Amino acid sequence: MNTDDKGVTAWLLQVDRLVNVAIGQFELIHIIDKPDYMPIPQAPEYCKDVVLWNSNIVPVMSLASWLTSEMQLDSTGVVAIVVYEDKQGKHKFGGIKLSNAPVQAKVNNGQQCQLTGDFDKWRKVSLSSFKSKAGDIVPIIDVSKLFSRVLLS
Amino acid sequence: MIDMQFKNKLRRDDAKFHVSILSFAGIELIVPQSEILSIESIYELETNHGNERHIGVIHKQDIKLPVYCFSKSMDIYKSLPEDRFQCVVLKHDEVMFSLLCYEITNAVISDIEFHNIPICMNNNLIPLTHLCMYKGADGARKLGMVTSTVCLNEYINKLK
Repeated sequence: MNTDDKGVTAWLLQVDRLVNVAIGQFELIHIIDKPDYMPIPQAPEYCKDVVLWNSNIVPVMSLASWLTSEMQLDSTGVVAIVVYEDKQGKHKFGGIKLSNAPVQAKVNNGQQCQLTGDFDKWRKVSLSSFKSKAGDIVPIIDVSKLFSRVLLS
Repeated sequence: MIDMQFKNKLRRDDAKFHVSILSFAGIELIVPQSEILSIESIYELETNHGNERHIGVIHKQDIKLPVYCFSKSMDIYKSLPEDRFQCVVLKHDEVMFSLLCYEITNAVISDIEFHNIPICMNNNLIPLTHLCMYKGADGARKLGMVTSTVCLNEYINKLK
C-alpha cells in the first residue's frame, strides 16, 4: 500500500446498498462490467457463479447474499477481480459482486474502530476495520481468507 | 491436483478428449464418452407415481433403470418437462441409470484445461468433478462443467 501523511490508499467496494468494505490498493486488479456468469449447481448462494477472466476460472462472491443469507438480484452487474495468495503461496483470482464502481480512499490509524453489532459477522473475513468519513464502519477484507473455506464452515 | 485417472478416462489418445455434452435446462454437463451406454431418442418411460426420487423407469437389457430429470440448479424434477427429447443411459462398473436431456452431443476436444472446483464454493454438494475451459466449435474459449456417472450417482444418493 502507498503511505503518506494522510494514510494508506485502499479501495472501497460497495457490496450492498448500505455496506462498503475495503481492500488494499494492489489487491484490486480489474473490473468486469456485465460479466457472463456461469452458475454452478448446488454451490452456496453467496458464491454460486464463476466467470472466465484472462484464461482463469474465477469464483464470484456476493457478500450481500452472505450477509443476508438470501438470494440477491445482480443490481449493476459489476465484478471486482481481486488477487490473493493461497496457502501454497500461489497467486489466485477471485471476484466480488459490487453495487457500484469502486472508489479509492485514504485510511489512517486514527480511523480504526471495532466491528460491533451488525458487523460482528465480518470478523470471519476481516483483518481490521475503520470508520469512514461519513461515520460508517468499513471492514478491511482479508482477501485470501474470503476465498478460502472459511465461509463454508 | 487433477485426478489423472479421470483425465485418462476422457482421453483416447495423447492429445484428444472424447466427451459427451449433456444439455438440459440451459446447462451443459461434460461426461466421458466411455460412460455413455446408449442414447435413446425414442424411449418408453414408465412414470413413477411413488415417492421415489426418479421420474420413472425405462427397460434396458432386461433391467428396470431409474430415470432422473434435473432442473438448472440440479434439483430433481418429479414431473416431466416438455423439452427432454433424449434419454441417456450412463454406466460405470455396476452403476447404471438414465438422465433426461434436451440434447446430447459427442465431441472430440483437443484443447481442454481442467480445474478443480474453487475451494470457497466446494461444499461437497456440487455434482461436478471439475470445471474446465475448452475451445468451442466457434473457436471461442468456453467454460464447462465436468462430471461422471459415479459423481452423479453419489449426488443422487445424497438427495435421497
